[in-house]
Amino acid sequence: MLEVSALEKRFAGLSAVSSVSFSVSEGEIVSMIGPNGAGKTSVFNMVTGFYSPDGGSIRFRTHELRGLPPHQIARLGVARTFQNMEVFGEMTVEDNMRVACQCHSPVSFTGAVFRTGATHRREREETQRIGELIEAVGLGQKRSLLASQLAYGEQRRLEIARALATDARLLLLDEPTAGMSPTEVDEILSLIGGLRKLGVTVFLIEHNMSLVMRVSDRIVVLDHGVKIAEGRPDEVQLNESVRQAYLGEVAPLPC
Amino acid sequence: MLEALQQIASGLAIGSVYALVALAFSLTVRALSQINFATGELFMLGAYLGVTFTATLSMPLWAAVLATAVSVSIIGVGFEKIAYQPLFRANSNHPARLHILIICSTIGTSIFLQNAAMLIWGAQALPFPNVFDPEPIRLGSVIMPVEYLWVTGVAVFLMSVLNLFLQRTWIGKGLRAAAQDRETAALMGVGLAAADSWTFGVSAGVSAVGGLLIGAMSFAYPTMGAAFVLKGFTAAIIGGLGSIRGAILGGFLLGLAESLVIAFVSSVYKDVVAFSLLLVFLQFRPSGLLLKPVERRV
Amino acid sequence: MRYAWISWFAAAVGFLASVPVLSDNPYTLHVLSLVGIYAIVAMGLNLVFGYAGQISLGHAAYFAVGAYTSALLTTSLGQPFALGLLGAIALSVALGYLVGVPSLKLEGAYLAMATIGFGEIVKMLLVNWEQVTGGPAGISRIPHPEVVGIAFNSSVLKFYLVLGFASGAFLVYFNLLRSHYGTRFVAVRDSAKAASAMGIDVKRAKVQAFVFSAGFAGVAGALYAHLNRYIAPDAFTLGESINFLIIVVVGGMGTVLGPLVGATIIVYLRETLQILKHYNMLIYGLMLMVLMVFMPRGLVGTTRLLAARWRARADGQN
Repeated sequence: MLEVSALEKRFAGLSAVSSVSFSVSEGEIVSMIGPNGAGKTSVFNMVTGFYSPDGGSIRFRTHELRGLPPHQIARLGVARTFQNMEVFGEMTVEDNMRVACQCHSPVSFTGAVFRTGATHRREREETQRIGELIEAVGLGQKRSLLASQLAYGEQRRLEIARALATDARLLLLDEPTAGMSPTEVDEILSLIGGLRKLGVTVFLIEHNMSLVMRVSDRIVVLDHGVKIAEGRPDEVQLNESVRQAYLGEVAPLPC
Repeated sequence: MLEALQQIASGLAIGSVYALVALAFSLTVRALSQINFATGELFMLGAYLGVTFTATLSMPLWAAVLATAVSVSIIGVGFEKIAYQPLFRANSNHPARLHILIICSTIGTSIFLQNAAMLIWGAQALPFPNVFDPEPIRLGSVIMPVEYLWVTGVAVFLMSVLNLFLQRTWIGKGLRAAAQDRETAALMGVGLAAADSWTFGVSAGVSAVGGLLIGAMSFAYPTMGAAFVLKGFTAAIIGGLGSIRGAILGGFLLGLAESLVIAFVSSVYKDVVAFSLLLVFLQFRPSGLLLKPVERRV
Repeated sequence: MRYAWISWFAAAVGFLASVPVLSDNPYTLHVLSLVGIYAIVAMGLNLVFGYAGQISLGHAAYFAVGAYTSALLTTSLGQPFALGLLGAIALSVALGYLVGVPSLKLEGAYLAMATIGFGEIVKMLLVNWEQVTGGPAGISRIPHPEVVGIAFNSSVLKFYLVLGFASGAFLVYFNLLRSHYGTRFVAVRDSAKAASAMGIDVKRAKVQAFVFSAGFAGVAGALYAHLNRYIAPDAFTLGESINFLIIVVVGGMGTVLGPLVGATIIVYLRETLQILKHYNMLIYGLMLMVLMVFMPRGLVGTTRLLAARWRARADGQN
């Protein structure tokens, strides 16, 4: 579904990402791990169009994503969440989702202004979908609150629900459990598992190793902008270069 | 040709005043991370206070400059403490909203000051008393009014003093640190609120001196703030908003450009020069001549 | 629930329509017409500034273009009002596009300054392009608007004309803001990054907001020209642009009703304090500074906030 080949990114002469290649198959859950500064978010930003790669290619299904602006990539079916949460603070939970709904349906300015029958119908459908998604992430009671009024963990769930509202086939999650308590992490874990049932492919960046080991089908390991390992969780766990990369950090051995 | 040289001399003199206004902008951009729309009115205040100090109180020009700079600095700091600092405190989590609030508030200050000045001094233009030697200077066959030299001289002197202040004194270094990296500066013991107030005060004083100089060259009039604020901003943009040297460079360049247009084209179009340069730079090189362009994502 | 607002709207329009019956004082009607005209401008400005977060201090330019276009089409070219109006909309929309596209790169103070610069350029054109605009003397003897044979030549009729346009404008504005489509504008303001990641073409949204607001100001300008029957450049200064901004801010930026409340207050304030012009403006300036500190959300926004808090306390929630 997603094929990244020989991806390159340089900042002011320094190589942030160097010749990184990997693929994500449909229905998989793939995690990208690595020490801080390994280039993981840069890869994300390149896949979603926020950075332009200095080399390589990114193929999503039949499309070449390199060179496309973020909104077009989103419309092709790739959605993401952000490391530093980017909910629309001054809008309600529902409205946050409404923004994302417009991704796949061709809405029109005149339709909105003149409130045609088609607009009414579409908005009704969207409202229903939004309702289902909000319930699915457990925010049903809070739908009319402003996003800024939600707790930290709730905002993260909103971000995920919002990304889903774009009807994405591939979801990129950037550190979805950062700063969360173990209970909240478990909630995210079951959420991600539930995504698979919905037919959504998940590609995530994480530092929480136990989550990564439990939820991933495959893991890609980056260090200093280079891919140093790739494979199933049990394989990566035993990989010597991976252990070396994490020397000094929390060991990747889960219990 | 002779006229052209004279125009250039006047252009440099006016340019030095543009530089002062540009400096004031660059300074407040560092402190407020926003443009201070009241800069123009502080400029105008300087001119009117200058008239009062020289005409009504019969102070010598140099003393009037000092008194004006100090009084307007204090007024500026007053507004900063009362109107702008509370906004920073209340909106530290919403930089986008903070910007809008500050723009609105400084617009309010500018409206307030402009009308206060009209109420105090009346709505007509006020000339300065004759403080300059009416005998013009002769350099070869070029005749120049004394004012041009004097204005340029005072402006350049002020800029050097400011430069020394920022580079050499302890307070100045603190201001520069706060401008570069607020968090680190705070960690190193720089009182951010005090730094902002000082920056604001200095900026207000600088604008005021600029106004006084223009007043001394011609006269003080109520809408001079609006006229110079856009040009001062343009000068700051040309040189690079936030850069001290950029402000000075931009100011002189703009003054020169205008005087060349007046000399070789027509004086009707002199204002177009500033607006066109502003829009061109904002479109193609918003970081200005001296600052490096910042890579923008999204 | 969605249709509740229709009854409110109908009631409000009905109430306003009955005003001339209660009082046929031409001055009162003239002031109310002005409120309507300013409300139209404010609604547009609210979309681009209050919702989408793009500050514009040059809206007097679109207002002017609308006014002059309609005035010229109906005087020198002897065209009917309808054409004048269409021309006003077309030109102001085009101008909005011309300003909106280069403005995409700019933010905050840079944007503010660019819009000011642009407004000044338009004003300079109005003053200097004498053959077309009549220079500082402006254009006079602008005809009464005539639609389908009815000449709107009295204060009462003009009031109804403005009321009609303002109501129509409100409907369009309201529909846009409350639709799912409309959520993109606040999204763009709150996080342009996230908005584009959710499929919103941020650039297009911003330009749309600019164009929309320019069109509204153009319509208002045309109405203004035919209401006053005389226009001159000194009605379209930076001061006017600032006035428009104040209306949006005082009423409540980013709120639906803010522009209406703001327009009412500011127009009445201006009319009642006309004699003490400088004190009036002094108060304006002071009011702006004070409002930013104590009521940054404007009247409507602060009222809503207080109401929400009161409701929360009444419900026993936190």
